[in-house]
Amino acid sequence: MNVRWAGFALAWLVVQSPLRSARIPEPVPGGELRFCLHAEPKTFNTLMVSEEPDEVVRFLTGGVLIRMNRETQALEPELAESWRILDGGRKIEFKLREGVRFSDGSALTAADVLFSLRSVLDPALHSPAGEPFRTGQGKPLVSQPGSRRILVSLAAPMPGVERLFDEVPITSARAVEKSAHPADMPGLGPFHVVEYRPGSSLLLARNPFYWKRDEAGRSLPYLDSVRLSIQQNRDLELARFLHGEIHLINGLDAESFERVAAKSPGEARDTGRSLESEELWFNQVARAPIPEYRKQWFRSREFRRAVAQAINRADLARLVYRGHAAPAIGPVSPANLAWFNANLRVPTFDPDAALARLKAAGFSLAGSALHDREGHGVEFSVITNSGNKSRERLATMIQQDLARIGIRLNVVTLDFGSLIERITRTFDYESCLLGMVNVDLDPSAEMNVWLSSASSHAWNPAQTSPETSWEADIDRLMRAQAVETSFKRRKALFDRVQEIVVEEAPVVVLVDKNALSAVSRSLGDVTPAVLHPQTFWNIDRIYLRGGAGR
Amino acid sequence: MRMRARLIHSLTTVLLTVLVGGLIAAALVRRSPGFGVDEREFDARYGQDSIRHIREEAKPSGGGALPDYLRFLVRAATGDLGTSASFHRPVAALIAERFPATMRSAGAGLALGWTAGMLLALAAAGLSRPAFDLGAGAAAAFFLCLPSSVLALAMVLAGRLGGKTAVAVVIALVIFPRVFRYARAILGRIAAAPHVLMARARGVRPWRLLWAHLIRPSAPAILALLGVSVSVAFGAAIPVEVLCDSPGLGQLAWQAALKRDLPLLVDITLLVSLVAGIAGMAADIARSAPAVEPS
Repeated sequence: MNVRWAGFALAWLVVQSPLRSARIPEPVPGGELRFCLHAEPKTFNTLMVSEEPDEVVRFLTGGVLIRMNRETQALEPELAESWRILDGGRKIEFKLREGVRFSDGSALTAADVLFSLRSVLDPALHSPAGEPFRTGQGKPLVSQPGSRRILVSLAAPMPGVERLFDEVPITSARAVEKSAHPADMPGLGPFHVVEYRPGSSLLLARNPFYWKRDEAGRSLPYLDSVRLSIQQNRDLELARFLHGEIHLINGLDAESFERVAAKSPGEARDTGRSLESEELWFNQVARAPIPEYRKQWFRSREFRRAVAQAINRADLARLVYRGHAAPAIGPVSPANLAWFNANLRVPTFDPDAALARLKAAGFSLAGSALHDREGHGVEFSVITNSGNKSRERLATMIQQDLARIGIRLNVVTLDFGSLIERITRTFDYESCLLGMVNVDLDPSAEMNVWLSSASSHAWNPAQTSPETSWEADIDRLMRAQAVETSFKRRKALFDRVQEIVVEEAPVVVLVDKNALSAVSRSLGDVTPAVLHPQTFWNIDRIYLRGGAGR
Repeated sequence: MRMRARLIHSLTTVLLTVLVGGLIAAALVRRSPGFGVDEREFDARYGQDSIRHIREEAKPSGGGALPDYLRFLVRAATGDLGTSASFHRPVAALIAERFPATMRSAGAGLALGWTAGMLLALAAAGLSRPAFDLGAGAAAAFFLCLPSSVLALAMVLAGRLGGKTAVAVVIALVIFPRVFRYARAILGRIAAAPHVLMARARGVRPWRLLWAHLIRPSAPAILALLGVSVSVAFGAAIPVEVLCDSPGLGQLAWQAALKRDLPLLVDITLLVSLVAGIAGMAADIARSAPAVEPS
């Protein structure tokens, strides 16, 4: 009997030893995570957050009913233990989790959730988180059908509405009152603010009442604190990372990424195509103060497509982004797993075909300069924001590509305020090169981009009625997908929108940038994702190897 | 009596300079491209209603620069410095948070720059060693040629100093050559004066010679540079704090300029003009004080 047990024990040891050595190390609680904010937070009122630094603080200190897993892009319950869609997408009912407390120890009540949702959805407050709900079809109503049940009733069906709650903060009236003094403000996230030194840093401490636990039943988060330095100079941020002063950098540019990779290859993380693309569009606004003949070029589909065809996207990705970008296929990046139109192909780079297309449209090449039908030399300017090295290089390379087909492009860099004034108010520009980020994956989040009446319809905003037939088609398709409840049918409608955008080329999508980040080796369980906030989306699971010793 | 009249004249000059400086800043900001534009206007998350609301918030009053500026001065007189358009916070609070950092960096930089400049100038004038004089002069010329932003970049690349220390060192390097060259010229002239040569020939002790015959007679003229050096230090703080990422008034001014933040920019202009004006006035008074005759 003893021999049999001894044999069993030996076998168990033999099997377990290699497994144990290969096992992922146990998270060690404690320690301080350090990284940088790239600007001063503008507000700590979670309801009014609109810019990146505010969003970072809200992500770390705030709670939501539903959270999107940045890795799988699937929705997961948070403060709501479950939810269900009712009445064909007109209603969503949440069942609140029990025993959730704010960082000051007070309990989260249904009244707090009602307050949060009613505030966010109040049109008079203009809360950015409530924007996607303002469809113009009536104000959503929030009610409490049970002690721990909250019902949101929409004026019209809104397919995929549950994903919007990833951005809707849950707070309380007293927390909002204290938002001018963030260190006194209770929160529901894994951390809460304990010190704010304006212009310098924020110190977040572990929320002792955070509701989540790991699989072993230990309280989350593992980290004791997070220190956010306000560091606007990205070169200094990189230097601090390389010196080991900070642990993470989100949104690295290709040049900085290469520097990290050269010094410490394991710390440079390229997560592949992101939802961030670089785009060029032509001003098609009828009242724009630019010569009429140039407006004619920009309104010509053949002209736009020729320009799209003459730009070598592969070279842009290879040279400007050092291979950490890919030629864009269409207006939706393949990183958007659910909504990317997989039938689209990368437009081919073919200057000869571009020139032939232009000749067919009445343009002619005289020497090395392209002329239109009336003899005007084809020359225009592209505006972009100053201070973005990659974008400035991109503009220079496009300039060279277009010179091959006889187009003279003048690059003008402007500070961001002036640029926004030109593209939204005075329309005093010819073409514009900017980056676009799809924060939300759902096509309904892009209504303000694709509808011809929208303010962010870049090439010709706020049209009273669609000025072209293809814009009318896009309007119809976007409106149809916004109320269609079948995912398959929605996908088909949005696929067609993507096809029209590629065919008509009002926006020439150039490259999809990769999501680049730097992650210190001393961190455990960091799995960078393409979605914001990239490296610390699972902040409550991240730990420092060596814990408090670090 | 003459002193009081002089003081009133100086105070009036400072006040007028500050007020005119503020008005010019207000007019320039209002005329600059991008003024009254909120970057959120191109944020695709916002619908048309919200964009209208954002525009309404960012819209400047239609009164023009001068009436607006006068209204601002009336409010400022009651302690209301307005609200920052880009930070959405009271300007007084923003300045109160940032001013001490700049004062510390600029103060340390001025002290360091003045000490280095004066010590080298005294040594060059007192030692009468051409090699030392040439070396110190070359160092001063070198730092005088370098823009403060280049010095700040060098600090950033060196990466060894914290933001505020780096700002202080750069300001010291900006101030030092100016103090050295000016003080060296004055001290050199005094050192070559017949009574100083006579004192030296009579064997007056070196420390007495230095104090009584060089430092005391040259002090009023050298102190006149103080006002200018305060202006130079605050001027240098703007790019240097931006590059070294030091959370001071310079960085705040830069951000305000980029965002066309009218209330913040005008307040900072008034404050910096006031500090520079008072320093200049103090230097003027010091210069006008009767020089101590060599004994």
